[in-house]
Amino acid sequence: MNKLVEIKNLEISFQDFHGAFKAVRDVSFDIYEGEALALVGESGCGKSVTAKSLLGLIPEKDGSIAEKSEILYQGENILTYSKKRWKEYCGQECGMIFQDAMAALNPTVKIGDQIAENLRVHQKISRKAAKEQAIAALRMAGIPQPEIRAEQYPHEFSGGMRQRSMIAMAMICQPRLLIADEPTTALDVTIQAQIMELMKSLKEKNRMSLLLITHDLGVVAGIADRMAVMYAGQIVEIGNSRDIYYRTRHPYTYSLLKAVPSLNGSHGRRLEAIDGMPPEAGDILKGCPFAARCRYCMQICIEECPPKYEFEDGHFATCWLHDPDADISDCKFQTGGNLCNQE
Amino acid sequence: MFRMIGKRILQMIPVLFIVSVISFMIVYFAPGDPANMYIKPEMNIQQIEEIRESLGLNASLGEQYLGWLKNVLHGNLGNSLVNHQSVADQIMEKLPATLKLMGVSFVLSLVCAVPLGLISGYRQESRVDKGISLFSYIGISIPSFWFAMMMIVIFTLKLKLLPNSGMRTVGVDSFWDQVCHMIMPAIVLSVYNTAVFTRYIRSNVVRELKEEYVITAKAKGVGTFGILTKHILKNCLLPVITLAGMNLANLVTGSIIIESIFGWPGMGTLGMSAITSRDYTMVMGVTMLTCLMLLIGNFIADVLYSVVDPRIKREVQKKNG
Repeated sequence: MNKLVEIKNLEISFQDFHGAFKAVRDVSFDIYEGEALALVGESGCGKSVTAKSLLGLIPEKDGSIAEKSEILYQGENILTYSKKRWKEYCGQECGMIFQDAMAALNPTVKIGDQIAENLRVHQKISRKAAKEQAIAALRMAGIPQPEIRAEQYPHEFSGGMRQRSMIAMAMICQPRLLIADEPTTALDVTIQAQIMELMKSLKEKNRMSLLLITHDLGVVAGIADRMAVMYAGQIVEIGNSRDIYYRTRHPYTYSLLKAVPSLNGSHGRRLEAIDGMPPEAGDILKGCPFAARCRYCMQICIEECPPKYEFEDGHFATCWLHDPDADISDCKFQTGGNLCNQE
Repeated sequence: MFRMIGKRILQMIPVLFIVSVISFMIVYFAPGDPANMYIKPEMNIQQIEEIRESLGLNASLGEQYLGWLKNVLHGNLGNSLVNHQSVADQIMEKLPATLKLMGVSFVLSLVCAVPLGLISGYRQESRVDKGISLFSYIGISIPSFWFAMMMIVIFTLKLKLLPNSGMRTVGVDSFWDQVCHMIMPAIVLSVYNTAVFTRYIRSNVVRELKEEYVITAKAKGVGTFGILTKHILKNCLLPVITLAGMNLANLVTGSIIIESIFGWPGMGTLGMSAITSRDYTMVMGVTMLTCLMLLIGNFIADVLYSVVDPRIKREVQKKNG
């Protein structure tokens, strides 16, 4: 598969009254054509910021992307795009769906017009033709009576319908990459499944890539081809979904998976949570950011940042436990790095 | 929607009634006497009493009010106590001049304030914004009479460019002549409104820019101009509509100060002379017109709210079934 997007050494820092802090630290990953990549992590781990940088939505005033960072879209660095090229790229080649569709839609503009606007910005098309396409897009997104719905305002839609409209809006120019920033967090569970199903079918139909940002491992299980787990602004583990689920290599991923409530077998058992809090964005970290909460923490974890270790094809984890010299005798964890076999 | 309009019109009636009672009382109890206009030094007390009687000033407050109310309900605002001409006729005579001046200044201030407010809010804390804000502060705090006189000093006395008084030059009947007469008063009148509107629009733009739908628009590739005009403008017009609705009353009352400085033959001068001569019927006529226009202005603003913000329309419909 070809790479659609290559992110290299992405580093994003923000200024606040305490000074600068890094929200994303040296993140590198690729998005292949036609794949669904899930970016998973706790709140504040930098996953949304990473996604926003792909659309140039980092506020210039207080956020900055480091010089060495590169985001290659089809081999071209988008960070060096001209203003004009950015406008062409945003919306047409890369679309985005947001968490709170109510806030993300303009309350005073008709749904149909908001969807048609995306088309009219990028193509020379008459108002009427754009409207027709917008109605078609709404129909494709599974909204009944799209002709009537297109004339309505966001507050007349239900939550699921709004998210469907957002999808119609992002999809109308048939982008190569769709970024979905927690698209189902604000929805109830049955609607969540419907929205994920819709995105999956659209992705396959249009052969586009999907970058799915979520904190809910359950949501992405059925759709993501690959997963990247982020913690404190870094990617700690990345690989095929199957590998991540069944051959977990990083203690953080492992804890996350354990924290997903299951319907069977957990009767009467407490839901496992990860102790402690993630490091504050401003904290200066010497060693592994997860060390303080890690059950298998060793001396070196506090002192030095772990390197990347590769396992199966394309499955990486940054954890000292996988170092051949790691002295794992003094922690209970002795299964040669395969955390899932521990029980 | 029509139910709501009907309801609002019915609600205006008690308001107008209460305003008429209160203003009638204020005028009645105010010191001074319109009969003074007719008194000559050689008159004796009896003659003065006759004049008072003929003007209807000896009746009690209640009787006077009811008499006035009866006339008004018949569509008759009465005659001026000073020159015995119909109040309504005199108002109609002065109204067009005021409407013209206030209308022009109102449109002028909106035309200036919208782009200024948008730019200022979008480029918050930039030099442009600071410049526009400085202009707004000056516009708000500058006394209009001083500004008017400075304009006259500069443009009439020094530069000899613009006429300083009246609506037209006697004997000249050209459109251009009228425009020249209007420039100074219109600018003086619009500066304050422009400044206030600009501030309101600016603060709303700053607030709306933080909304997520702006990010959505950016993600769609919409440029700055499109974001400001298509997305933000509509969302920040509500307070401007409120202010504009209140300003509608000014359209008919005019400005007493500016009209007298520039010798503009409008409602301001009419109302002013009515008050100084204690011309009760005229004062009441002008007051009721002002009150009516204020109510209509607010009413129009309410209707416009629902046009600009569809969410309000739904609430109104819900409330009125």
